[in-house]
Amino acid sequence: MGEVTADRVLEAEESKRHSLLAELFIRLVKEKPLGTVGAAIVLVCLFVAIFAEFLAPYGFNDITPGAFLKPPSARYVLGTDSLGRDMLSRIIFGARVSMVVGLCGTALATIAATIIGLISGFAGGKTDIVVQRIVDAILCFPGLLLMLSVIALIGQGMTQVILVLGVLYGIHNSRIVRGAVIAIREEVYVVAGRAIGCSTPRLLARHILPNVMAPIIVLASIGIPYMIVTEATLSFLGFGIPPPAPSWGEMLSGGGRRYTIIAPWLVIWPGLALSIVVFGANVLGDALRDVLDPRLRGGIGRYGTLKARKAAAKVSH
Amino acid sequence: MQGYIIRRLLLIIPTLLLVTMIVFCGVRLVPGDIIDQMVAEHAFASTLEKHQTVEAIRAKLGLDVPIPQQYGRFLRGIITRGDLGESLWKGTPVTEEILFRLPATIELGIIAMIVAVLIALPIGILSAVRQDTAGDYAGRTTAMILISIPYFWVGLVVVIAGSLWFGWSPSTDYVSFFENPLENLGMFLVPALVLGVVMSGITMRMTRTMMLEVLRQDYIRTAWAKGLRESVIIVRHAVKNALIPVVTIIGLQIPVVVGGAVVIEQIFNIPGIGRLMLESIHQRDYTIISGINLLVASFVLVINLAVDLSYSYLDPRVRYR
Repeated sequence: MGEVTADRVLEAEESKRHSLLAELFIRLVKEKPLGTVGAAIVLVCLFVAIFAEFLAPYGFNDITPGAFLKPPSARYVLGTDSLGRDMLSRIIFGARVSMVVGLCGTALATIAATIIGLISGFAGGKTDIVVQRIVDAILCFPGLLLMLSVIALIGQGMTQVILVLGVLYGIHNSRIVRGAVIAIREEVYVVAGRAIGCSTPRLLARHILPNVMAPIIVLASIGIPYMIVTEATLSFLGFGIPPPAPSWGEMLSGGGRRYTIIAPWLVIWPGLALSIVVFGANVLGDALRDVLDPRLRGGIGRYGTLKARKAAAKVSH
Repeated sequence: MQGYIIRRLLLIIPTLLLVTMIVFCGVRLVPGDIIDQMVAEHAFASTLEKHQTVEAIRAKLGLDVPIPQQYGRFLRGIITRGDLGESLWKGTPVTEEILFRLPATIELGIIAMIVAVLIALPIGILSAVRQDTAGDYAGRTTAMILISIPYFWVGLVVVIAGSLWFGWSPSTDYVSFFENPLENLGMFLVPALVLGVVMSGITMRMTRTMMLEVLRQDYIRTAWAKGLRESVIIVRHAVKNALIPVVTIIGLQIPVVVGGAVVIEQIFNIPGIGRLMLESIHQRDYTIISGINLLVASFVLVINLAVDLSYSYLDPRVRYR
């Protein structure tokens, strides 16, 4: 009779559970069909970005003399631009630019938001007030204006754009992380950890961070479309990634605007590409948020409880 | 209530000071070689003040005295005279340049926000009330699409389609509203529509979320139990309570409108602050850039204060914290 212990039941349950990521994915597909479509779009874009060299019929800067402003044909599937470059190839390489900016910028933003939010939220008191006042003041400047001003100071280029976008988005979202940290700060396990002498970095890394992962993941998933669109806007205005880099936004400005009347395809394809990718990323972010939210209470850390259960199972053997 | 207002006003002052400090530091960060470049460019341009030396430009930017003194001068100039310095390109006072271009952007912003609210509110409310029906999904997908489409692309497509199909192109003369209202509105209608429609996506989703929350409340359930008609419940009880956070959201959209205005003004040839900003960056006119930043940031701060105060007016619970 005593053999049917809690440990046995736990073991049986655990063998049925998949890994965390797989379970997330399964839930996404089952409950959120639109989110799955979004995920598919983003994955296709990622694939195109990585294998651009093999997929594009021409290079992104291959100028064919005399073949400018040609309408879509069998030879140039999406037409050519004002310099004689194939639009399809430029769009394919443009995916790489967008993906790089999106992913790197979001990574930077997530790190910045996490650091600022953790420090501000956990330290509390004077540090918190000072940091929050500074964040408040920065938030007063409309994003685009501030970015344009900073780029006027540090110049254009992919690195500068990623830096500006990442840091600004991170500062904007540090509040969300801070809010989550404040909510967890007074929980029993944090207080207990401190009571037994846990150092602050250890507390932050091993106890607080896993439990604020959900909002961090959400802001990362919304960050990617935001980065892509904002980089396109900056490039469109001429202050983002300079030519000849095939940024979709840049394609919409320059040659696009001057020749739009006689060659509308210059404007249609980059815009369409932007819209589809951003739509997919947005929808994916939304679906992720819905799937993760009810789990917010345990953080993404079933992680925490799973480990504890395993340890308990070991001890009692 | 008065105490609350005074407290909120006092809280603004440190943030405002920080804003001025950020703008002030921005100009300090101008790398030295840019100033040399400006000197070189000015030396070749014939229409401008000739032969500005590095010292002259430094003096204009106020960089030749110790920093605390610079900051003091800067603040005093703004508070007492509304003086934001002079344009490095044309030599005219920055305040004058900005005020000249301000009305266009304000008008664009106001019309765009009205359009956005008119579209977003009904759809958002309907979407929440008929949750999980086909109408709801249609509304949510529309909002998603509106958020995802880059608004400058929409503007471009509108300009192309307009000229291809209707022979219309953005007008180039700016006519003030007080001179000729109809022509003025005609100029702003299309760009404001573009900006407003795209902005409505965000407001739509927020309205839907807020309505959903309100509809779950007890007092709504009581109203149902009492037998009130659906229209009465929605209009008289739900909407008013759901609108409070929506007002906040609308207030917070102001920075988005300003950002959007920069691009839309460029596409539709509207002589507003956005275009001024872009031109100043091209010409490296740092005084105008910092002037615009300061003005807009202060404006956003004031709007946030107004939204907060209106929040406290609409929701009596906030007042007595």
